[in-house]
Amino acid sequence: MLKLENLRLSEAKVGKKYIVNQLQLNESNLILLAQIHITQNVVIEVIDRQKTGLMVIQTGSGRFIIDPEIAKGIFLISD
Amino acid sequence: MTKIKPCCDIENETIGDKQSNNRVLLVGNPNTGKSLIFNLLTGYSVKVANFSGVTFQAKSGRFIENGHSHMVYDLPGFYGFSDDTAESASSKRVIYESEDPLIVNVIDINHLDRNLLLTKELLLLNKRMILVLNFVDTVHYDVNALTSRLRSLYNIPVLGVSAIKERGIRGLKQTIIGEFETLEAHTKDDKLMRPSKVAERIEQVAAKLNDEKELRFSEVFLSMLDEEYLKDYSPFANDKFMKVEKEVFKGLNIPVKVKLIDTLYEEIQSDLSGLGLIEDNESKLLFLDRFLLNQYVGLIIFSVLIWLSFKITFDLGGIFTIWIDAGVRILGDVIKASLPNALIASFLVDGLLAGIGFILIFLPQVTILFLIIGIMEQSGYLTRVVYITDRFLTRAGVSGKSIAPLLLGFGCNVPAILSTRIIPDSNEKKVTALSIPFVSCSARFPILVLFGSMVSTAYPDLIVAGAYLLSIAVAVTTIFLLRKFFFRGKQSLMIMELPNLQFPLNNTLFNQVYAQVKDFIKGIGKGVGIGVVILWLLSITSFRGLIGPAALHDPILFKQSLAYSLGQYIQFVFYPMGWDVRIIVALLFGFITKELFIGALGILYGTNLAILSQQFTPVSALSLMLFVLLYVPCLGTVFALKQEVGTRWTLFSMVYSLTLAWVVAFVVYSFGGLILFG
Ligand SMILES: Nc1nc2c(ncn2[C@@H]2O[C@H](COP(=O)(O)OP(=O)(O)OP(=O)(O)O)[C@@H](O)[C@H]2O)c(=O)[nH]1
Ligand SMILES: [Mg+2]
Repeated sequence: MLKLENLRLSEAKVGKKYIVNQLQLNESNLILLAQIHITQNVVIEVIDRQKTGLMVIQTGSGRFIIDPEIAKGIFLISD
Repeated sequence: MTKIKPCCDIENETIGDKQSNNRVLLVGNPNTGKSLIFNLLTGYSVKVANFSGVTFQAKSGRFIENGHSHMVYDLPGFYGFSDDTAESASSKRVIYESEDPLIVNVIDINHLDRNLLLTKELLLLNKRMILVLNFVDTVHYDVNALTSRLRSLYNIPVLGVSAIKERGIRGLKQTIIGEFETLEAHTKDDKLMRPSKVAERIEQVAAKLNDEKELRFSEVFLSMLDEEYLKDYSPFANDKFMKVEKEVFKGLNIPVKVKLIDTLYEEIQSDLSGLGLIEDNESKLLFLDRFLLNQYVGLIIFSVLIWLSFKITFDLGGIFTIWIDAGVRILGDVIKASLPNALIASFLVDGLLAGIGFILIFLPQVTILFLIIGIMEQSGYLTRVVYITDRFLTRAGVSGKSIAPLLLGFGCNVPAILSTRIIPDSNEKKVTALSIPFVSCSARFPILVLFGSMVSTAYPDLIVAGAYLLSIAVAVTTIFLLRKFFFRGKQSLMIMELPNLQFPLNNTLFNQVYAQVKDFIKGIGKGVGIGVVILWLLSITSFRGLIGPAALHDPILFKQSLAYSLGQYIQFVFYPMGWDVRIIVALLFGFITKELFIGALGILYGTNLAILSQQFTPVSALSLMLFVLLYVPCLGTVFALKQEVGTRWTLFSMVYSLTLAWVVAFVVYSFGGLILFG
């Protein structure tokens, strides 16, 4: 079951998969993510997160360490 | 012409060499094996490691095959032309400024779609190009269908390669030569590569900019992707271009760049469709990440690994040390016995052999250290360390981007300081560069080994591990203080690729360790050799003339020597610690390089470890060890710092580290006995 949810990447849970629906960030971060293929319809799985917020995510194009603040205001559909 | 500096590792190199205009550029995403392929083509051994951003500066070398000579450039990895990081800027510049180059685009077959974005952008440059699908050893499907599909779609040579297994390299060499032989190859039709879904709009931009002659599609496209290009290389006026672009793309709800990238990704999907590739070809070792990345378990694993590393270094390295130590002494005796001239014998034995031999005694430990660092780098573990230690650095005030340069510092501080260029924020960059000298480099390792065993014969490994911890703590505290008082500002956010975990014991590892050991020995031969000779001369002469070799073995005679006077001038500085003049002379020479500190001890005390040990109590050994750990690492770092942070901050760094080293040594010497040994 897919449902549209308005949540930030920093709220995403470890072990769950999310599909990017729309990203709301400043232009340079948007470009940064687009280049490594984190754009609409891409599936993101959260592998781990630290207390400070830093996350490891898995996408079709690899694993990334990401500061979720970079992806603030991501709107995701969670399954 | 390009203005890249030839790398320090690469000798006899001039850019724009007349002999060969055949320029080969290795271009690709970070961590795709460009440097490894560079090494295989040129025979050099530039750094190869399993994390992003290893190459931070373009490096060049010559590749000669069948009488053909080509200049190969290993460029820092980047993701696309819209990338505005420092690494990408230097790569893009080389690409823009190279006249008629051959681009060898190296991509990781495990992350095809992401890697092909850059490929697509490169294709639009309309230059000669070869596509290399690297890492074919890690996939289980037949890559032929893929290579022939891409070959026919992109109209360029496409090769499957495994750089690590050295498979396909011969074919690559042939293809490179072949491309230069077919001269017309680079005048391809760029129509083939136009991203169909936005092509029309890009053509509109072109038309509005100039309706007289048809503009190169690629120039317009690049101007849209890359602001740097638009500013410095594009044929269009900045303002006009932006205006036209805005007009044509009116009503778009995402930035134009993102739209372009998205379009290319859509095309990549269709390029690859129907091939049935297993996209998610992740390493089997990735399950380990569950533990390695965990904020508690991960830190415990990290600590145990570090301790184990030192334990192995001591237990294993110690065995070889005893042999080399004995060998050096026997060799010395033989030389002395067989040479009648006492002065020449002393030059060879008390000078060269004592100075250089005493460093070589620690070669086994240094080799093991290189091996352990190499294993961490090749396996992909280092980036896991970045992740689990990020919280400490974040608290100190810099992002995870600073961790890679800091970790590089454990090998050698000089390239580590230079690599801070990859840090985008200038405050964070300077703060990181200024803290790197405290990271204990491999040249300081023999000193820690030597004095660690004097501090505690039972647990020297723990003492050395503690010294490393202290060096990290001082570096992080320095970052914190500098951020708080001098370099305030917002902290930047980070995103970094976490590479696949791989089994590290491979050829690359051994080649890299071999190259480092060779460099270490070469360094001793060159710089240290000269220092050793100078010190030997200073020790056997006085203001009035030659005293003779006996001065090296007779403390009373030694007091007349120039070396002794030199030390005596500044002895008052170290008065509270009560160090022997000879130690102070060694410290002076250690300012040039840390290997020379050890070499100087060898000359001034003789290579006999037991005799040297008698000079120290555990507490005085500890205070000296910490002083050496913390004071200015070497002249090389001073120059590197000057280049990266300017003269004023370099001076600050020297004063700060000397003061800190002195205070720590003083405190340990005064109160260490009470604290450590009751
Ligand atoms: N399994 C496998 N590993 C490879 C292959 N080629 C390179 N590697 C490994 O991939 C890692 C990255 O190699 P580098 O040559 O440093 O990559 P790079 O493209 O120069 O990376 P940057 O300098 O960061 O842009 C190293 O650990 C290599 O050993 C290959 O064909 N197969
Ligand atoms: Mg590289």
